Amino acid sequence: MARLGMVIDMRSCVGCQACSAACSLENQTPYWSDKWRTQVKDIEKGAYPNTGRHLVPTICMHCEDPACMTVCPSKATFKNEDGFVLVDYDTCLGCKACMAACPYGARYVYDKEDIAEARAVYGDSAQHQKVHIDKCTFCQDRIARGMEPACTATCPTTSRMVGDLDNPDSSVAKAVSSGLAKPLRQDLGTGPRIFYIY
Amino acid sequence: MSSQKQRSVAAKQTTSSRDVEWVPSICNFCSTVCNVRVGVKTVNGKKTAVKIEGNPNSPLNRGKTCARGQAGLRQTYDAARLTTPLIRVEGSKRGEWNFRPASWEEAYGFVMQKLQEHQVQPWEMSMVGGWTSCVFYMPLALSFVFSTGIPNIVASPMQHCVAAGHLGTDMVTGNFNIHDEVLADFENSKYIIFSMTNSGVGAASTSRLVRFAEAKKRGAKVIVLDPRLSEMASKADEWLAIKPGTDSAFFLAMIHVMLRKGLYDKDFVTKHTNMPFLAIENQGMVVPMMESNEQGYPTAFWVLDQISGEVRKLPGYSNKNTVDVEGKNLLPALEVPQGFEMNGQKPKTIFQYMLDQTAKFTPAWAEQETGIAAATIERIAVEFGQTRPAMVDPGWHGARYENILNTRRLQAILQALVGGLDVPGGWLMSGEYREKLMHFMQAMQKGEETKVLNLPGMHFPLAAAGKFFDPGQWPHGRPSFAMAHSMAEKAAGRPGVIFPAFSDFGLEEAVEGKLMFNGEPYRIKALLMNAANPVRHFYPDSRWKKILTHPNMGVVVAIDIVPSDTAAYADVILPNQNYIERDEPFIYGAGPSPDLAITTRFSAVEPNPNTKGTADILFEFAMGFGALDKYMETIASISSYDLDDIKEEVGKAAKGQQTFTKAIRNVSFKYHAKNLGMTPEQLEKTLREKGVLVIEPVEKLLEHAAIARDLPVPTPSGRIEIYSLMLASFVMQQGYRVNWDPGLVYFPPRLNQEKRPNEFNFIYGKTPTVSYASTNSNNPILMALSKNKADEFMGLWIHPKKAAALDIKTGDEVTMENAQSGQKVQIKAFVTDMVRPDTVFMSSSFGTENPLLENSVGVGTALNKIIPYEVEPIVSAFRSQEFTVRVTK
Amino acid sequence: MAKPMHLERQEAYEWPVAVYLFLGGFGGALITLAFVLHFFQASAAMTGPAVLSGLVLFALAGAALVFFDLERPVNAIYSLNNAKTSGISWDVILIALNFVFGILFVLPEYGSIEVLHGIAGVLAPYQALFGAIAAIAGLLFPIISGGLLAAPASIPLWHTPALPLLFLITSFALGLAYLGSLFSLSGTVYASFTGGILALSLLTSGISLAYLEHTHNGPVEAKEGAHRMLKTPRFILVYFIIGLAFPLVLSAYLLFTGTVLFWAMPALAVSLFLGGFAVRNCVILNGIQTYPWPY
Repeated sequence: MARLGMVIDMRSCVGCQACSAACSLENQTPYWSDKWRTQVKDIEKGAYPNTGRHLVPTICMHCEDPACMTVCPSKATFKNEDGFVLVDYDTCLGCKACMAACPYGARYVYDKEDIAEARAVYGDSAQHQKVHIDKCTFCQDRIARGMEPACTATCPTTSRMVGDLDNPDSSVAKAVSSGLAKPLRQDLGTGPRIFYIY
Repeated sequence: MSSQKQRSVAAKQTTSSRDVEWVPSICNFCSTVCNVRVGVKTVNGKKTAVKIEGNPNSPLNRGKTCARGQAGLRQTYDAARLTTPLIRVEGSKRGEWNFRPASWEEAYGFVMQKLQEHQVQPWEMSMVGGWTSCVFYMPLALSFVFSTGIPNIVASPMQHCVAAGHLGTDMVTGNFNIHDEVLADFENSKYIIFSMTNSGVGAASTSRLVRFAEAKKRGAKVIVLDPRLSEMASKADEWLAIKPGTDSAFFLAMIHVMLRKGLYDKDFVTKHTNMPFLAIENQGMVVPMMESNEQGYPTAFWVLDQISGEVRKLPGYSNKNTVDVEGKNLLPALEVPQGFEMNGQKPKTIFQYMLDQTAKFTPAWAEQETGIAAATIERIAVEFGQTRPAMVDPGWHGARYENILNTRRLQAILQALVGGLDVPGGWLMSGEYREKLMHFMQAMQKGEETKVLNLPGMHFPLAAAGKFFDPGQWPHGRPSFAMAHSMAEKAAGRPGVIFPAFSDFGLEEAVEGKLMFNGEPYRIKALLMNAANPVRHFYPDSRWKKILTHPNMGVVVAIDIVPSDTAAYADVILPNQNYIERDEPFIYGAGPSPDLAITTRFSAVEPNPNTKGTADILFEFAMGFGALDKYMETIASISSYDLDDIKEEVGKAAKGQQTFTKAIRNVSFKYHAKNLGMTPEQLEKTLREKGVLVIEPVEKLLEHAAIARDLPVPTPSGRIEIYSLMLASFVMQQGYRVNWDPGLVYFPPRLNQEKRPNEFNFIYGKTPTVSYASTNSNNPILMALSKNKADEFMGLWIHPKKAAALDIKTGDEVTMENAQSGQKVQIKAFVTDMVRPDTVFMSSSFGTENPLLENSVGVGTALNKIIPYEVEPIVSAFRSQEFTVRVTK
Repeated sequence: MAKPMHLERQEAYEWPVAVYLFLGGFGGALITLAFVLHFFQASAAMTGPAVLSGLVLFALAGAALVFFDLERPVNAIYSLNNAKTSGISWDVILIALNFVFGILFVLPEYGSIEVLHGIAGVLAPYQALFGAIAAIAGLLFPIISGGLLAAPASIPLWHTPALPLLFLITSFALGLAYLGSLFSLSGTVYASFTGGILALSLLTSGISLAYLEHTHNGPVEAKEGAHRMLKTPRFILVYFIIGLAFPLVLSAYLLFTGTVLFWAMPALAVSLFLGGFAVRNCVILNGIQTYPWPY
C-alpha cells in the first residue's frame, strides 16, 4: 500500500479558498459555524512598503505520532492501517483534549447545533449524526475510490499535491527528499505527513 | 486497533460524491466559464446535486474549480429561488418587494397590456443583459432585438470590462470575442507583469490560475503593479505599489527604454506590425502614407525595402510586410535614413515617430508620475526586453480611469514589441477566434460574406454594434438611445461617446423624456432585463433606482434565478432555470481556450416545472410581438444555423411538443455534428461523456494558424497595429482628442493631488469568493468563507499611519465621502500595511439590499454607492476610481 | 498594521476544565490527608468527614467534566479506554479508585450505624490497605491532572513538570487548611497544620518562582502567556496576594508568635481555595500556542 502524503506549495496559492468550499461540500462540515477542516490563512507581515501577505493552506497533518491520538481517552482518535488519523464518531466523548493537544489547529467540535443544522441542510444525506470532535479524514472515502482528496482535486493552483511518499519517483516524494518541501513544527516530533514548500 | 473498527468507520464516513452520477456542465459563477461536472444522486427522494468538480477533460480549467465553482450548486437550492412568475401588486411601488404569484400567461399578458397602455414603440424598449446574456444567448438576444426592432441593449460587462479595457488591447491585436479575453500562456512565460488586475487571475479565474500556478512553480519572475497588496500582488516577486491610475506612465517608460536599447523582437516588429510603414506629419498628427477604398479601409501602405533600398507598396490587408503588392519579397526598414524623401515629402517610419513620441517618457519622468523609482522601471524594462518569453498580462476588468483604454493598449504594444503573440509564453488567442478568422479569410478569398456572428475579432463588434449606431439599419430610423444621446451631446458641444456599444449612456435622459432625436423625444418606457442586476452593478445605484422608479417607465420585466436587488424594482419577474438545471440551447466554443474545442451543458437536475429557460422566454416574447417568423429568419441570417432546421424544430416547440430551448439545441447539435462528420446522436453521446470535445489542440493550431505570423488580424490593416488606424479614424471623424491619439501618449488620472489629511485616492477590487454581476453573494458557503475574512474582504483598507492620525482602528465604522460628488457610505475600517498611505481600498463584492437574500443582505458596503456617473468618451467606460474620498470616524 | 497573529490562545479548554482539575485535586488531597491523619497522626476524628468531602468534590469534579465540558456526556464511559497515554483516562480511573477504595476505607468509621455494622466489621481489618490505595489514587490525581495540561508540547505555558507539582502542592495546602478548619470548628487547633500550610505555601512560592522562570526564559508562547497572566489583576490579587502571600504571612505569624486564632484555619482555607482556583483558571485561559505556519 502506498504511503500517501501531501505537499502544499505556498508559492502558488492565491487564497481562493476552493479547498475549503470543496471540503465543506464533500464532507458536510459546518460552514454555518465557520468551522472548516481546511482553510487558507491570510497572514500579513511587515511594514509598508515591505509588507508580506502570506496565504497558507491549513489541514490536518496526519502525524506519524499524533498528539491528538495520545491524549484521546476513548481511543476514538486512531490511525488506520494506512497511517491516516481518523475519529470513530461512535466513541468520541467530546472532551476536546485532542483540540488542546493538536499543534496545527486541525480539530473542532461538531456540536449539537451543528448536527441539527446539518440535518436541516443535507436532509437524509447528512453524514454527521453524532456530536464529535471533527477532523480531516484525507477523504478516505474518495481515496478508496481512486480519487484525490476533494481539496487537492479542485485546487486551481495545484498548491496541493498528493502522492506516494514511499515511491521515489512520485512528485511529492521528490519534493520531500530534495528538501524543497518541509513539515511544520518538526521540533514537536509529531512527524507530519503534510509537507510545505515555502 | 481492530480492523473491524477501521471497516466500520470507513463504512460510515462517506463523502458527498460517493455513488453520484456525473453530468457535464459549464460553471455560471463567473465569465471564465469553466467546464465542470455536477455530481447528482437521490436525496430525500429527489435527484439532487451534491458536488461539483472541474471537468478533467477541459483544456480551459483542467479539472479544477474555484470556491465559487464548488459552492455554485447551492444556488439551485437557495431558499429565495424564484419559482413562479410574479406580478407587482397594484398600488405598490417599484423597489418594494410586493408581488403576487401569477401564471406565465398572466405574466406575459400583463407585460403586453402595459406595453399597449403606455403605447411603447419598439425603440422605446431596451434589453438589459448580464454577462450570461452575451456568453450564452448572443445569437438569440441579437436576433430578438433585430427582429422586433428594439435598437437598445444595455449589457453589464461592457462599460466595466469588455469595452472598457479589452478594447484597448484589441485595437492592437484585432482580437475581440464573446470571450474576448486572451488566455495568456503564463506557464511558458518567464517574466510576467500584471497591472490593474486582481480579478483576472488571483481572485480568481481558474483557467488562468492553473496556468499562472505552473509559471510560479517553474520560477517565472512576477511583477505586480497595484496600489494594494492584492491576492495577485501577494504572489509577486516584486510588488510595486504604484500611484493609482498611472500604470500607463510605467508602460510608456518601459517602451522608451526598450525602443532605445533595441530590446524588442526586431524580426516580429518589422514583419508583422505597422512599425515600418512610412508616415508623414500632418497638422501635428502622424499619418501613415496609404491608399483606401470607399469604405475607408486601407488598400496599400508603403515601406522602404532594406535590401533594394527602394520604396515598396504593400497590400492594405495582410499579415506580413515581406511581400509587396506585386508578390515580390522584401525586408522593410524600421528606420529611413536622414534626408529621405518621397514624392516631395519627408516621411519617416512609424517606428521613428514612436521614438520621437516616447522621447519625453523617460524613467525619471515616470518616477514622478508613478512613485516608482526610475532605476526600478529601467531595470524592469531591460529585464522584460531581454527575457523571452516575457509577458504583460492582458488584464481583466477595465473602467476605473479615463486612460484605461490607453493603458490596456500600451500593454498590448509591449506584448507586440517582444513578439509575444500566439507564441508559447505569450498571449494565445482562443481556438474559437482563430477558427472564425480562418473561415473569414477563406470566405474573403472566395468573395463570400461572413455572417455577423461568425465575424472574427474586432469585425464582430464593429458590425454588430454598428447596426445599433446606424439609424438606417432600423425600420423606425432610430439608432440606440446611447448613440442618439451621444449625437445630442456632440451637437451641444460636449464630447459624447464615440462607440457607446451596449451602453447605458443617456438612459436616464431618455427615461426622463429629455433626450431628443430628429426633433422628437426619444423615450425609453420599457426594460426587459435578463440576468442583469444594474441596481447593484452599475454606477451609481441611485441613478438606476431613479430610472426604474421614474413615472415615465411603463413596465420593467426581470428574468432571474434568485431575487436580485434589481428584481425588487421590476413589475414582472420571470423565474429562470439555473445552469445546472437546464440543457443549453447551443453548443459553444470552450471559452477563451486556445485549443479549438466545443462544449455545452446537460441538465443535471430537474428544474422546477414553473421555471423557464431564457431561450423559451425570448421565443414566447417574439410570438407575443407577432415576430416569430422574423425571429427565426434573423437567427439564420446572422448565424450559420439552417433556416429550415430552425423552422422545423421551432415549429414543434410552438406546438408544445418540446421547449424552444430544446428546439434550438437540436438545431445547434445538427449543425455541429455535420461539421464534425458525426450524427447529432453521436455528438450528444460524446459531449455527455466528456463534457468538452477538443477538435484541434493549440500546439497544432499554432503550426498553421498563428495570428500575425500566419493569419492577418481583424485590425484595419491586418497587421498588429502599434499605430492605431482605428483611433486615427476617430481623429478623422471627431477631431483630435488625447483619448484617441493613435500614437503613444500619456494622460494622467484626474485626481486631486493636493489632499486634505483625511482625503485619499480610492480603489476597489474583487475578492476570490464573490463574482461581479451575479447574486452569488447569497451563497451560504461563499458567504461563510467571506465572513471568515470579513476585515479584509468587507473592510476599507487604510494605512496604519493615516489611520492613527484619524484615530481609526480595525472594525471601526467610518464614513467615506466622495470628495467630488458628495456620495457617502458607511464602512468598517481595516487598518493594514497592505495599501499605499495615500489610498484606500474596498472590495466590489458586497452590500446586497434585497432582504430575501438572507445570507448576504446588509453584509458589507455596496461599491456603487460611492461611485458617481462619470464616463469616458470612447466607449462610455466608467471612470469608477477617478475621484478622491474623505474618511472620517 | 501587522497583526501579531502568530500567537493564538488555545480554544479547547475554558473555565470548567479549571473547576474539574481544581475540585478533583482538592478531593484527592483530602482523601490522602485523611489516610495520613488516620494512620500516622492517630487522629481518626476527621477521617469520615474528610473522605466524604473528598468524594463529594470528586463527584462535583466529575460532574463539571461531564456536564460542562464533555460535548457528548453519554460517551463518558469510553473515557476509560486509553489508560496507556491519556491523562483523562487516568484521571477517570483515579476517580473511580477513589470512590471504590475511599468508601471501603471510610465505611469502618461508621460501624456505629446499624445497617453498616456488619459490613464495617468485615472491612475493618483491611482499612489500612483500602486507605492506602485510595490515598495513592488521591495523591496521583492532582499530579495527573497537571500532567494532562503539561502533555501538549505545543503549549509551552503548560508543558513543564512544574505544573503537576504546583497543582499537587496547592491541592494539599488547601486540603490541609480545610481539615484544619474542620478541627477548628470542632474546637481543636493544631499547630502542626499551621506548620504544614506554611511549609506547603513556601513550596508553592518556590514552584511558582520556578514556573515563572520557565515562562520567562522559555519559548515566546510561554512568555506571552505569563505576561498575559501577570497583566490580569485577578491573577495578581487572587493568586499572589490572597492565595499565596496571605497564607504565608498568616501561617508564619501564627506559628512564630504561637498565637491561636479560632478563625485562622477557615480564613486560610478560603484564601487557598480562591488562590488555587485562580491559578488553574489563569493557566488554562492563557494557554498560548504559536501557530505552526512559517509566517
